[in-house]
Amino acid sequence: MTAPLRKLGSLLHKQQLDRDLDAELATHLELAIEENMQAGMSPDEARRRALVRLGGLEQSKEEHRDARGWPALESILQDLRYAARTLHRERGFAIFAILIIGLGVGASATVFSVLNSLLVRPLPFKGPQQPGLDSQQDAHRR
Amino acid sequence: MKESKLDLLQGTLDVMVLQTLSALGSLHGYGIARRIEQVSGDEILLNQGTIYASLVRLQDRGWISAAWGTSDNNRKAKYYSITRQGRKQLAAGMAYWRRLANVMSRVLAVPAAGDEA
Repeated sequence: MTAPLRKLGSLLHKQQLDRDLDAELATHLELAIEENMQAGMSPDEARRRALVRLGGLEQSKEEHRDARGWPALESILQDLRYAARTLHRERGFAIFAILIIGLGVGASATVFSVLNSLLVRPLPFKGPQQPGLDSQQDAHRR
Repeated sequence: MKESKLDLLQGTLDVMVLQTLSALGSLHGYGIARRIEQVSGDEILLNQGTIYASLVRLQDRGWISAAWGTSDNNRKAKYYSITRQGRKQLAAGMAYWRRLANVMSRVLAVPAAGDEA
């Protein structure tokens, strides 16, 4: 039950978590390099081997991010942010697109409301096919 | 044999990490990775980076806890330790893997059809 909450939290505290992970992986590499150098490797070789054993710095971070959050939700948010940025950058296009969509929705709604009252819903009388007087008024006349 | 290391099966690493923490108390990620490599006799193919994904998973489930501390040579490191819930999970995981290993070795011990004749 706590896991979903923590995952949600990981979306909100992304930067803090990334900093933590960076520090953690930096320590990991330092320890590994130190051990390799004690085994007699040159600093460059020690660093290279440490990175190979880790399986790549970026891959490790990516894997960590996938495990801690909801990758699907995160990529949707990323797409939304990208869309917002693009629309912001190309104002003219954005306004034009919004107008077109508004026009489309408005026209569809108008046509539907007309057709709905004409064709789909029957008139609120008994026997709407036979125009005539209301039954109560009928009774009065008789 | 040496050049072809074993691929880790799904879920194996989490149990290994729990067992390591249960045996050695609190450790940082590098310590856990080195320990697993040593105990396995370098026979498993382990990118040390995958340890950190496993640690996040285990933390999410409440099986381990983490705290920043200082290592022997004065480095800031995140130390992990197993929780009571984690120990329960480890017992279950152990039982499962032992059973699976047993079944596998029994099934694989059945001789091929031609051998007995």
